[in-house]
Amino acid sequence: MFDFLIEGFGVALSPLNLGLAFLGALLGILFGALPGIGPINGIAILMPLAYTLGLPAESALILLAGIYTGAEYGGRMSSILLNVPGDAGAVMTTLDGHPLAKKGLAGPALGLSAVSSFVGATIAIIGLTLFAPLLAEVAVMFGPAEFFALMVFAFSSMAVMMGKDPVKTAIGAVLGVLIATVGVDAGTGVMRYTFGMAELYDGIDFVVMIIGLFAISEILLMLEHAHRKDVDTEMPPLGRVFVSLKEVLYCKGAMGRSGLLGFIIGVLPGTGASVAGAVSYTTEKRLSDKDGTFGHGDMRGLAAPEAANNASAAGSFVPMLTLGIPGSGTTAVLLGALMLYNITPGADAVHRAPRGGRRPDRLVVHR
Amino acid sequence: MKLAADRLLGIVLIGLAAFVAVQAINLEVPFSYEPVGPRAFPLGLSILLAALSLVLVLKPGTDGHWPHQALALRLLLVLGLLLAYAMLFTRLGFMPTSLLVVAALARLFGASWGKALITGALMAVGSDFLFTAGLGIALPTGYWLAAIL
Repeated sequence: MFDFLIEGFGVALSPLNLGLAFLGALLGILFGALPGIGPINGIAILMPLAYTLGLPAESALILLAGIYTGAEYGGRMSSILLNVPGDAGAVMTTLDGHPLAKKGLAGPALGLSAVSSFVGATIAIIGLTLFAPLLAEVAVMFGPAEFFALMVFAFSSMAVMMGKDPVKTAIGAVLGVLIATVGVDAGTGVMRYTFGMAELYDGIDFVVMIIGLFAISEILLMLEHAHRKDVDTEMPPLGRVFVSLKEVLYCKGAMGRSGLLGFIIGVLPGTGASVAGAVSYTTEKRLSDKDGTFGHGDMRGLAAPEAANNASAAGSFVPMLTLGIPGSGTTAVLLGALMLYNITPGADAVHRAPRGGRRPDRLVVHR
Repeated sequence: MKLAADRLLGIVLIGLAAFVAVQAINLEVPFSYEPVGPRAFPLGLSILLAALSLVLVLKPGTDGHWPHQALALRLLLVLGLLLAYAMLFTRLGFMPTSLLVVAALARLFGASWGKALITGALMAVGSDFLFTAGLGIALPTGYWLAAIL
């Protein structure tokens, strides 16, 4: 068990992979800060690039995961400075982040956001390391019946947790499964919904579907909001450049609790950063908002959703890697990236990865 | 009374569910695979879809407001443009089609003609370079263009 972990650190700390992690995080921050390009689009854009560069699977995963976490942070800049959430997960950040910026504390707010993102992500990564193998241990015994039950659970938890309209989410899930039935039925070889078109025999590719869906809906949303003018265009002064240790320590409780909460929410299928941010913010508000400062620029009100949404980003890797169920929209795209590499995530991958022979071990399963 | 967007969506989805169900029933399946074969899964899904859509028709959400006419037209134009792009670029060539579509999209987002055309040209040339040189994917140049050049 532990030698695999050490070996994993060895892989992660190789100069190439460290460089890629840095590059990914940097690009991710850029993508996150730009309106309209979130982690999903960023990964979708760089995925084919990583593939054609001939990066090995683990390096590509490192690059893309770097973009994911970087973009989670980059989306915060516009929410703190301009009161415009860069993506859905950043909505809660505006509540206390923007008031802080208005008080002239934009710099410390950005710094605190980075620190709490780091704390949240670290908590979640420790959780991922401990929890994923356990889950995989169980998942490897799953048969068709268990997988069916799991999918039903995933879809219903998605319907309840995501958005305010469970019926529509459930409809979306049903439509998704229907799209997956297009093509040759794997069990019997019967053609379903191909209408005699040879292009449809293989089914509708997951990557094509998901990129098209997210990109086109993004264009339409942007067009709809292009002419809205309720945006603070005035850039507040940055103030001090970094957050002080005292302020960080002031928020340590909020960060710890929210990181843990965010991780758990991230593990649940279908619930991503936006739910994690909202739940942790309201929890923290209930726990520590004694003098009604939340919503008027309380540091803890910024630290809580920030720690939570990064923790949920890492947490959503757990079901993706062990069960093959993406925990968020972004991990859905990452799942597509792994499939490009012929890695079908799931219990099998986690198990065979370190054990299936010494050399091309790691994540490479059946290339 | 204005038709609530959710109601309309529900009705359309019930139609889709019916279509899926009919297609599933008409599947020619060897007898040995029945009763629970390739037919059963889409049939079950279509029933589920119809039931959920019925809920949507009976209890539509409150915030389903229609975009005003000018915006609706532009949204439809975007979808039309993207469809035209997908249909045309194999025949007209990647670069010219991208130029036209990106320029038109930029116009829809409120750019001036000059800016829109420059954006289109840069996007067309840039992405063509990225695909051919970076990714090694050959893109259609368009026969009519090849004939002129």
